[in-house]
Amino acid sequence: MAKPSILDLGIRGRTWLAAAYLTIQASLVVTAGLRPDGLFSFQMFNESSRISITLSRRVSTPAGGTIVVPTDGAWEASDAGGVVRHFRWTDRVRDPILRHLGRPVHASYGVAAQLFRLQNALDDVALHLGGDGETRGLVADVRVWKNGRDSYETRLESRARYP
Amino acid sequence: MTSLVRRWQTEEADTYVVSLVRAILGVLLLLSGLGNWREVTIFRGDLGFADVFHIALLPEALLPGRALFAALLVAQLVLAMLVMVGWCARPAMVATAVVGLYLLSCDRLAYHNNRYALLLFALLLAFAPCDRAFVWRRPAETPVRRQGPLWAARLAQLQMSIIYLASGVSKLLDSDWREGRVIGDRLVRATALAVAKGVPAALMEALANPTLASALAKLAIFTELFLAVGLFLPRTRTFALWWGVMFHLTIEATSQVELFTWLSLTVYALFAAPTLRERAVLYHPARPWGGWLARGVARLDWLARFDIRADAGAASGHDFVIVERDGTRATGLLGVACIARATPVLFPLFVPLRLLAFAFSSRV
Repeated sequence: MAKPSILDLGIRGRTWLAAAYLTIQASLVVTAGLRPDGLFSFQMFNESSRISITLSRRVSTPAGGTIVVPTDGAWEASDAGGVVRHFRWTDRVRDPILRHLGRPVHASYGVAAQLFRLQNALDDVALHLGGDGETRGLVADVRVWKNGRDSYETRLESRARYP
Repeated sequence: MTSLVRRWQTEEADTYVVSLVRAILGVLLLLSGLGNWREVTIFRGDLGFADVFHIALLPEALLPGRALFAALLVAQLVLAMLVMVGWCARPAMVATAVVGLYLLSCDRLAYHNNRYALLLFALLLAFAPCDRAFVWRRPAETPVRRQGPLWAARLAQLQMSIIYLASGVSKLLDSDWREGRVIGDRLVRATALAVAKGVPAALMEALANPTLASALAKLAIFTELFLAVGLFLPRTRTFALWWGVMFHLTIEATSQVELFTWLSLTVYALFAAPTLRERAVLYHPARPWGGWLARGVARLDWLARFDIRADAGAASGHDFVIVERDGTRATGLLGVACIARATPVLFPLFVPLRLLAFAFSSRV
C-alpha cells in the first residue's frame, strides 16, 4: 500500500469538500456581474474593445475656480515651500494597460473592467502626490471602442485633493 | 443519481494518468511562475505593493512586504519543480495553490483566468494520489500499488465543465457575442498575430466577414456548451475531446491565451479511461511496416493505452492489427485511426483518418 497522506480524505471528507468547492465555484460564476472585472468567473474573451486614455490635472485658477490642464503623464508642480517637483503617472501605475496614455490599447477583460481599474488608479495616484501643492485632482478622458462599434468618450475623475 | 454519487465517492483505479497530468501541471506551474517573475521584474522592478498602484482583495495589512513577496515568487518556482518531479508533490500542489491564490488576492490587476484555473486544478489534483507514477529517481510502482481513489480527478473534470459552462453562458447572454461583433472585431485585430503563427491571411480576412463571424460566434457558444456536457457522456466523449482539441488549437493559433490551451489539453487526459493497455497492437515481426509502426506507437503511447506485441499469427497476414477495448479488430487506415484515437499527439488526426477509413473500409 502507498504511504497514507493527510490529503487522502474519507468518504465524508470527500463529499463535504466537493460540496463546498462546487458551491463556491457556482457562487463566483453566478455573481460575476457584481464584479466589474468578472474576477473568478471564467468569462473568456468577453469583449473585443480598446481604450485610449488622455490624462489631465485639475488645478486652481487665480479666480478661485479650477481648470483642467492636459498632461502627457509627466508634470511639474511646486510644493508648499515653493520647491518644484517632478511627477509621473507611471511612477505608481505599472499596469501593462493603464500605464499607456494617448494611444489605443486592448481593454483586457472588457471596458467595464478597465474603467473600474482606471478609476482606482486615478484615486491611488491622487492620494500619493505628496509634494504636489497644485493638483486638485486627476482627470482621465477615455475614448472607448467597444466590440467594433463607433467610439465614444467618457470622463473619470479622482477624488478631490486639497493640497 | 444516488448510485452516480456513490460511484464518484468510491471509485478506485490506476492513477498512472492522473500522475502524468500532475507532472505536466508541474511544468505549467513552473512556466506560469516564471511568467509572473518576468512580469513583476519588467513592470514593477523591486517595488513592493505599497509603492505601486494595485487593487487588493485583502486588507492592506495582510499584503506581503518586498522581501516576502520576492520569497513567495521564488517559493512558487520551487513548489512547481517539486510538483513536476513528484517529490512531496501533493503537499506542494496545495502550497502552490494557496500561495498563488493569496498573490491573486493581493492584486486583482494580476488576475488572469488561465492562471486562476491552473491553481484550481493543482489544488484539486492534490487530493488525488497523483504521486504514484512519474516520480523522478523513484522506481515505477506496480499496477496494484498505483490503484487509488479518483474522486478528486473527477472533480477536476467537473471544474473543466464549469469553465466551459461559465464562458458559454456569459457569451450566450451577450447580444454582441451572439451577433458576432466580438469575434469579428477580434479576428480583424488578431490577423497580424495569426499570420505570424502561420494562419493564411486570406483565411483570417474571410473569417472576419460579418456573416461568417456571426456563424462562428454561434459555433463557439455551442462548442463551449456542448463541451460542458459532451465530455461526460460516454457516447459523445471521444468526439467532444476531438472537437475540444481543435477548438483550443484554433484559439491558440489566433489569440494570446498564455497557458490555457496546454492546461485544457492536459486536463483532457483525465477523461481517458484510467485502465491501461486495454487495446493491443499486434504486428507481424517479419514485415518492416509492422515493426516500424509498433516502435512509433511505443514512443507516442504516453497514456499507456496499448499492449504492443509481435504476433505473426494474430496479425493474420497484415503488417499490424489493432485490437480495440471491445475486441474489435482493425487494420490499414482504420487501424491507424484507432491508434490516433488513443495517442495524444496524433489525436487531432483521429476524425479525418476515421472519415477517410470509411471510404476504404478495412475491418477484418
